[in-house]
Amino acid sequence: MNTDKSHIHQNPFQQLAREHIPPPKLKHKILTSTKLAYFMLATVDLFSVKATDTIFELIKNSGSDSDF
Amino acid sequence: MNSPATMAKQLKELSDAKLVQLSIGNGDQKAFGLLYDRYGDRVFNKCIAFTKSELDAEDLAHDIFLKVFLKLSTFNQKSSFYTWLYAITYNTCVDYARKQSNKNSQSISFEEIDQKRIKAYHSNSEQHLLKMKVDQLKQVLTQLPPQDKMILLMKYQEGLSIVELQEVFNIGKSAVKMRLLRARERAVTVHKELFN
Repeated sequence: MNTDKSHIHQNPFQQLAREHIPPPKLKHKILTSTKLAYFMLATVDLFSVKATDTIFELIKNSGSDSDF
Repeated sequence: MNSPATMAKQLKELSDAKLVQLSIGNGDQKAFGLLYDRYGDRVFNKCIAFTKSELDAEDLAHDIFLKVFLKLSTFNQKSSFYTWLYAITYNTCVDYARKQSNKNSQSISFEEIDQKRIKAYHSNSEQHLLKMKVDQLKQVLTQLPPQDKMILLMKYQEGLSIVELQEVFNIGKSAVKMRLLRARERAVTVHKELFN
């Protein structure tokens, strides 16, 4: 990232960012969902907004983080 | 022929744009996983600021990355990947906050904050903001409107420039500066309200 961070060194926002680290299971859950999303997209064979919105809702509401 | 370790190392050295291409082209989970490795912590931290528990923040971060994956083909590569990702993060977090605000009432109304802000002195709000203690900042952030919270986090946690903030929020330069100034002033006003 090409951003100047000199002015935010040790500021309270930066300290706050260090307080929370995402659990490893989050990456697994995301990649399981994106894998499913990829196959669903391939199945409908289009990347229209309507299809992606529908797929998002389907995966979100499935609540599944198991492998498939 | 390259070994798996060499290939993994080569993949790690690829630019965000190249990883996006690989993710779209063949649904490469390793490529998208690397994008998550690069930005997952930052997105998760934004989600934490908008939720009351780590579990809710996980759900929100999950939704953001799923949306990002589903929209990858619409990423036009004119902007950097991270400003595009932060724009989706911003929109998703603001939507979440709106839904939550229908369920819960705030302890200080935004109008009340504005009235006090108008009456307030134009002291150096940035200096005041950056001198807050972390625990105090946490409480101040819970009282701010979602747009204020996000612009402050993008500016002072991520160090985004004005141009990058324009891309994330899809507004002009002067609008970014004004929104930033107002967000800082509201934060300082809330801080004084809570801790003075």
